[in-house]
Amino acid sequence: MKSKLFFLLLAVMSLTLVLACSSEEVEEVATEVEVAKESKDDHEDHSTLEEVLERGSLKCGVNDNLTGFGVLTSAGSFEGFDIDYCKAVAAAILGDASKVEYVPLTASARFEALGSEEIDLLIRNTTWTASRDRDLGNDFTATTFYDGQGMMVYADSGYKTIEDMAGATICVLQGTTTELNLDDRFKSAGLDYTPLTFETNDPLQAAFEEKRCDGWTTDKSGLASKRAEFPAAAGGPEALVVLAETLSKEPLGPLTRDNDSEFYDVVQWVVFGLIQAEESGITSSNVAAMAADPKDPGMARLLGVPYGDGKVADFSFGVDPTFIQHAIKAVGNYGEIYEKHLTPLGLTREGSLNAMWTNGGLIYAPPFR
Amino acid sequence: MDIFIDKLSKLSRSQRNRNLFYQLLFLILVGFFANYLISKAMQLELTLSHFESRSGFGISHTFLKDYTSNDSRWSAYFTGVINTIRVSLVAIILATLLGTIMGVARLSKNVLFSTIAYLYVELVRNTPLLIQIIFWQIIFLKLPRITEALTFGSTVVVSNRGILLPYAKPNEDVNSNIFVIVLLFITIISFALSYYLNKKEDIDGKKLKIQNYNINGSLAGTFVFLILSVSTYFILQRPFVLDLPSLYQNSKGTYLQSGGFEFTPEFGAILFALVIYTGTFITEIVRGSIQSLSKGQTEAAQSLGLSNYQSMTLIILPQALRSIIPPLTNQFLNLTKNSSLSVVIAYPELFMVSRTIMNNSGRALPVFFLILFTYLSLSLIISLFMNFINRRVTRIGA
Amino acid sequence: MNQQLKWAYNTFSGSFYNTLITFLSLVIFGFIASNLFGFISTSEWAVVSANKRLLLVGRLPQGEEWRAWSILWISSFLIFSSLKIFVKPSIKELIFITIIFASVCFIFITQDAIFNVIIFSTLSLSSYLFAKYISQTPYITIFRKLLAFMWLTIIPLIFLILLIEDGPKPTLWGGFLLNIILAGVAISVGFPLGLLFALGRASQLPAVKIVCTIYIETIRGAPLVGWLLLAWFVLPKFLPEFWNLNETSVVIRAMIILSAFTSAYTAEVIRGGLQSIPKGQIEAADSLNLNLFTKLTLIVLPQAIRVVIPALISTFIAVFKDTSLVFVLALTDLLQVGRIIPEQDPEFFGKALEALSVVAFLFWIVSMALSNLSTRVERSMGIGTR
Repeated sequence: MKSKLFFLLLAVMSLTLVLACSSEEVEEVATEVEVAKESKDDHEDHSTLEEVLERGSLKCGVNDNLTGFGVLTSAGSFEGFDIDYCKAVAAAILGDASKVEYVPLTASARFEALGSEEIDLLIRNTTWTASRDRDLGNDFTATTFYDGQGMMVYADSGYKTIEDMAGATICVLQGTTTELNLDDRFKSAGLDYTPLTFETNDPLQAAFEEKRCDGWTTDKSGLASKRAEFPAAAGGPEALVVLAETLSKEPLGPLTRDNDSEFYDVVQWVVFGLIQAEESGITSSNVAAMAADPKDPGMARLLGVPYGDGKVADFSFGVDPTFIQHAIKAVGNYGEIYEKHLTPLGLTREGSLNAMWTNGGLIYAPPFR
Repeated sequence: MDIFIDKLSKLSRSQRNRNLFYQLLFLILVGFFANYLISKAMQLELTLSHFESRSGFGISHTFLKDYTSNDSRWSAYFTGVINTIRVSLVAIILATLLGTIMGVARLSKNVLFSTIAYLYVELVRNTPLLIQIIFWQIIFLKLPRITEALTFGSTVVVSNRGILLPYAKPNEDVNSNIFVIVLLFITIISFALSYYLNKKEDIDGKKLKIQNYNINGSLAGTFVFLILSVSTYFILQRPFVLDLPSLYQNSKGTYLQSGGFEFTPEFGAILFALVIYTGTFITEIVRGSIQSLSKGQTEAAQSLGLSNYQSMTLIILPQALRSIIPPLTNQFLNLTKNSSLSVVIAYPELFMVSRTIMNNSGRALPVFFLILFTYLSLSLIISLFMNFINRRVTRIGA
Repeated sequence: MNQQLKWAYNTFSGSFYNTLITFLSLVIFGFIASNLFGFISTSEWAVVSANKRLLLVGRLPQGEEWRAWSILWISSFLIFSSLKIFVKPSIKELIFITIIFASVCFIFITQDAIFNVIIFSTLSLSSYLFAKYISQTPYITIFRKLLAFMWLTIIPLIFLILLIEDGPKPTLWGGFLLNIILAGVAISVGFPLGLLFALGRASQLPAVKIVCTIYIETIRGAPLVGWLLLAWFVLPKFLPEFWNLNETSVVIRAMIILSAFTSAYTAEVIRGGLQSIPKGQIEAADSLNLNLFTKLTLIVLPQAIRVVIPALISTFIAVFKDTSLVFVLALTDLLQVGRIIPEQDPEFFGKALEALSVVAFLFWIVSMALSNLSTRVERSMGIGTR
């Protein structure tokens, strides 16, 4: 009985050995070819655009817990400033703003997800920095929101500037440029401080309410909304003050992978297109009318329609020339997106960097020509 | 051909030969699998050179190590590792204590006591650890704010920024390392002395006497230890001085507390959460093992007139130890790895520090493997230690 | 009356320590109970009531709820009939179960779901009564076999319901549903696997023993969060390219890792059980010339597993709660929902404790049921009485 098992296994083993020896060579050659192919791919252009068109949906990496920029609603859908840009790109490329697969990412996993092709596009309130652009293998498209890092303290602490906060305990979120900028600022001023790094906002807010830390630092947009909703039991908004100083520049925008120029261009020009739409006075309600009867050649080029007897301008983006039209129809122009998500948080555009360039801000689109 | 088959079947009749053959087969299979994995692993880019650059971020809890944001990322990483070891070690000891007490309590005759133990296990075990950590953080935040901190005559400071207790710190003018080394020697000597005295008492069968006064071996050793260490302390000119905590305001009006041994709310929260959570699992393990012993043991102990405490410590628990140790090791490893959840409340242990580094430098893969490797080493050390204990406990008996 | 006083005295006082313990216990009881009631009565629960659907099924698209409902109905039938047939709860336990059931329905009921919830409750009640009726007829043996078969095939059935007819992508499964599915798969795949590894580690063949030990120690050596992140980013590079295996969904990868993790821990627990068997048992089995398989299934395993059932169920409960760690894979499970809903709307800021307590309650119900099960199994196996 036991010998029979032995013979059976012996037979099986010899058979597999014979097969394996021949396939091992093939395997080795195959791995060599694979390695060669992969290194070649790194230098060639990856065509995410083709993949998106083939797949029929856009994989967008987003935030699921930042009020105003990206939240998960009770109905199970995503809403926010960044989310609208995902929808705009999907509408532009695929003609349908609902063909997005949202992937809610934590701050530490976002770049890895983009690099390993889990997502096509990352729109998650990410700051454009040199190291992220080059070292991490990403490409930042146009900036959608100019923010800055601020510090929020209690009004009764008497702090007016960062220099007053020598030796203080500061609450900050982990894995962000905020953490590093905080350190840079305090170190360059020669001040001591103790950082308390949290992963999410809720335990941070609890600690700040109990005065566990003297200051709370994050992007000023976040501080404004948190201050506006500070519970009355802890003193309400009047108990807090955001220091005038801006510790750093935080330009936020969408990013794609390196060496992906086709897709990168499309995303970038969708962002510019929405800005230009606001400048030209096109809104989601009048875009159809404007497309049917464009006011000037510029508008016609933007919307991808012929002006008078001319031809349709096609800049070889690889998508339908009316792609900006689809985007505007789906989410509106820059102003409408801002109004819908960020104005309710108390972030006014007038006088800030996010005003139109014609009003003294930095929102500016290169010409569509 | 016939001779060949004949020889083969003769060989295969021995169990030992067949075992060898099966093992060979198994190893070949595993070998193929490993070869496949390794060939794929070679294609990944794994380098940790970016760890040598400046870290650029601060860490709030530094123990046994001075760390500033100018140090390398390796430095930051090691600070995180030390924090992990610190909280895990303390939590393991406390959790085992709590678990054993509660495990015995579960089987107590006092209905109130056993119900409390039962409720404790059922409520705490069945809720996720993350929620418990947040809960403990909120509790600790309810301590008085620093502007109204409690100070008991400048010996202890209690506020929601931490509890500070008097401690010892090295005197800067004197070399304190010598004292530590000498102290080590003194400890070894006193231990050896008390061990020797106790053994002599056991062998001789009667108590030791000096001038008709009984000597207890352990007491003698302790006495010797105290005399020697105190005298060395003064001979070396007070290498450690008292470090009293203090609460003060700096020039800008910021309240600060410093000095002494600091027990921050973050450390407290994660410690309490881990201890109480893991304690429930240990309770169940202890209870299961005690119940798996035959009831005859307890009855025999009682018939010998042993008290509850004696029968538990001398008869029941030593026998229950056999089936406690592997699941207990599981729980210790769990605890060490659950400490990685502390990023929720700003305790900078190794997982949180590595995620910060990952985010700043973008190369996640090599950092993953580093994290895996570190936790693996920590777990291996704990496992080896517990295996050693396990072998000693299971060597005796059927 | 005298006798009862005497019993009370002996149990609660008697010695000094006993009295002290009683006093302390009362103090602790009072403190915790008063704080709990205070919290429940003075909080605002809007953050939970607005997000009931999100908590239970996560990002499941609108219009696909029928899948979740059918799974719920089938499981309620299965659970309540098994409750009667296999578990046979007492009156006290029945009351407790009804209270929990009612509170869950109360917390999670919404206007459009009233009809479905009514079906759910009537189904549960009728399956319980049906089982009670059947247990008094001779059909009970067939029914028992039917229930056992259903338990074995429930996981594939759930998958079928979720994927049939162009079902939602697995990454959209979320909320409580996701945790249950992940835990079910992890336990049903991890337990047999763990059994194999435990036997391998206890085997006499050194090669098998070493390989199994390496596997168990490696998996146990790193935190689950680390393994999950590895599964997300590294596993696709290691999976072969045929059958498109390297593009499997994140959920499937999470299931693979969770099963491997469960198997490692289960293996260790079972090893403890194997160790506690007196050596004489194995020697007797060998002297009876039982082959390996018979020896294992009839002699060794029944004794080994019996001893470590509390530890095993503890491990399963831990696995169930560890499924909440899949948030690192961008999956929206119950705990992740609980953490993000306070940020949905400015009026929900700072309401984390309310959201998390409901999440804790849901986890608690399932884990409590499992641990009660383990107590009953212990009792029926007579542990602690011999």
